[in-house]
Amino acid sequence: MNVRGYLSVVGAAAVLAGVAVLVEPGVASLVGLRTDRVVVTVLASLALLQGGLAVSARLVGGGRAAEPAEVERRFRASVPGDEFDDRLADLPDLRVKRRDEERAAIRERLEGLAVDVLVARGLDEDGARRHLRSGTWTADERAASFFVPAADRELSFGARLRDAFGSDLAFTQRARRAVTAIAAHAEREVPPPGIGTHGSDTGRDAASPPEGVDSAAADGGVEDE
Amino acid sequence: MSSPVPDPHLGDPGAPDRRASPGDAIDRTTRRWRGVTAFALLAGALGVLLSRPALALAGAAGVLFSAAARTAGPPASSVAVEREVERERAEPSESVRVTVTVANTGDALLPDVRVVDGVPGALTVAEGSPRHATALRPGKRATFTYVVRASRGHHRFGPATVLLRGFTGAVERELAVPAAAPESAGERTGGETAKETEEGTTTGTGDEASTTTTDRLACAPRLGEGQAVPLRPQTTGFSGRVTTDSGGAGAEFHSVRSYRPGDPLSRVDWARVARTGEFATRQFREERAATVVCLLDTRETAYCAPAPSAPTALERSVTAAGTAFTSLLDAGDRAGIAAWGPTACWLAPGMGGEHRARARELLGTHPAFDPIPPDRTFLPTIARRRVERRLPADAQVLLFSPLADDPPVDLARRLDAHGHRVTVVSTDPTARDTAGHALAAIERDRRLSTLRSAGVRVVDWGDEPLATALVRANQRWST
Repeated sequence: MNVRGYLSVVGAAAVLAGVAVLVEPGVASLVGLRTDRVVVTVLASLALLQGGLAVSARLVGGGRAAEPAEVERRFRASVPGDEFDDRLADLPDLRVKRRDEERAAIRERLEGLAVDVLVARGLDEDGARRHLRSGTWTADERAASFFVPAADRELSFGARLRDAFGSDLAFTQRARRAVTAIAAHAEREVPPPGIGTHGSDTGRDAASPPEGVDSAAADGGVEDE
Repeated sequence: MSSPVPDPHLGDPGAPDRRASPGDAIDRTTRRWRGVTAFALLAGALGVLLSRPALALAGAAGVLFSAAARTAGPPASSVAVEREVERERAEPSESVRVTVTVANTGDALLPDVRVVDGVPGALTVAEGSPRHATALRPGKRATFTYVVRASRGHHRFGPATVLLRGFTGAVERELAVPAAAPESAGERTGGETAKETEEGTTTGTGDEASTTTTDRLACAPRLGEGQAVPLRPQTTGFSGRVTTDSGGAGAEFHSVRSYRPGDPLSRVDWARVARTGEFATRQFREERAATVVCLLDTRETAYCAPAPSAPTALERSVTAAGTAFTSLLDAGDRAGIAAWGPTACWLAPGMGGEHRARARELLGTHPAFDPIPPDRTFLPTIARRRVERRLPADAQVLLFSPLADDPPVDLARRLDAHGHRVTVVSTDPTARDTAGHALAAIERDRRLSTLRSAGVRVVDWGDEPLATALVRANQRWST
């Protein structure tokens, strides 16, 4: 038995003694215990406090037991791109500096891919970057604004405020829509920049936004820009 | 029977996520009596403050229960586990029964014993459960069975996880117990339902023809047969099926040249002789044999799939490589197998039935093609040089890779530049249901384009049968 066990035995003995005193108050005088109201009230208050702490610990900590591995379940494969979804989802939990670095890395990766896709559609690299910077590469306004430098973006005051205070909703939404727009170019579902309706089309790309994009926001119901 | 695990000291109770390992038990306080302690203290205190003797007595009783739980220590680790796997080798999807026996080898009663067997991660439990809960008196044992469905690979069962609790359940001891062979392996199989039996009691219905084991199950599927992978014109001096640009004996017309003494009369162009009086010899495209190495991308990134429960890209690559290997041997080509990943694997190009059998065993059970991702570090430069060093100079390469990242693209281009004609058979592991998945799919498409631009042939294999993908690719190459 460890120290905790011995202390528990002593505590249990004290409780039994208390019960004995409760049943036969004369026992207290035999062992020299004070049983006046003040002492009993103080001890009961301490027990009440300790009981409250125990309830709190029970509610907060819960139980603790081993959780053996789910051996019945086969190995589950990863899906390519899970890592990107996780990065987007984790953005709000990062510190400001780390979050900025992560945003820059995501933007750089998407820009590299977008340039690659647009070059495959016949644009030269400079032209592709120019379209990305000016936001004329897609009809989706929010996807287009993803590569536009912050100073050149025509955003509402509220959107600027949210961006300034690090809300990742706007960035994440724009990144997802940018992926959708790049996919539409890769699948050749939309004409390449400079041909057709780009720049004047007020509609959106044919490609529907992937899962995770707020449908209300996607339909223009919520403006996060 | 394995030797009992010695009693460890109380472990760190603040480490609930730690897993026990053989010889290293973990003890945890379960905190299941915290509620009783709280009730006892509150009831006792309120009983005294409100002068309610009944409440105070109830609290006192609760304190006694709580004290009993707190004084309890972890149960003794006197447990042994035996396991019997019905057979050592099985065909794909075949059911294999596993019988596990847990025994109390100590002198004390174990009131709460929970066992979770170490089923290999690539096997599916098809029937029964690898978990069992029981109480064991000293010297008693309990047996339970479950059935796994065999799949490709060499599977090793891990140690069984045993959780022991005393009467109060306040402290839990977790053990990892390696299984030993049953005392009468091959005879005892147990029943469908778990049961406690006396020491030594058996129910013998074992299959005498099969070899039982305790911790492994191997499954090497037959190599598939199907559409041959079109090869590139890089051949050996032996005749085979690859049509070359050289004129000679063959089936496909190549050209007509002046007759030379010694030319076979069957190849003389008699129509021309009749028309002009000049002797000419018809030439056909020579068909030569090729030396082909099926190189499989076995890095961790190859263990991906369009959905978590779908077959991994590596699994599909192994199937495709087996089919390609068979078709190559059937056509008279020399075929070999290599792995490009953390674990090296090399089967030099060869021919014949024995070679085919070795390939089947290799693709089925070699650790390089394990169905679970490797736990070893991949050193790309060393792995690439290892492959380059072993490739015969005239060998062309069939690279099986999902192209989930850039290194396979670099490898294919490098091998191609070194004179090995490369054809990439790429299983598509991508989905497009989220932004990340769509991004990965676009990036993979760009890799395919990069390879095609570099003159490397690519077979993009999606959901359709491999033969369909090969026919489509062949049509693309022909145009």
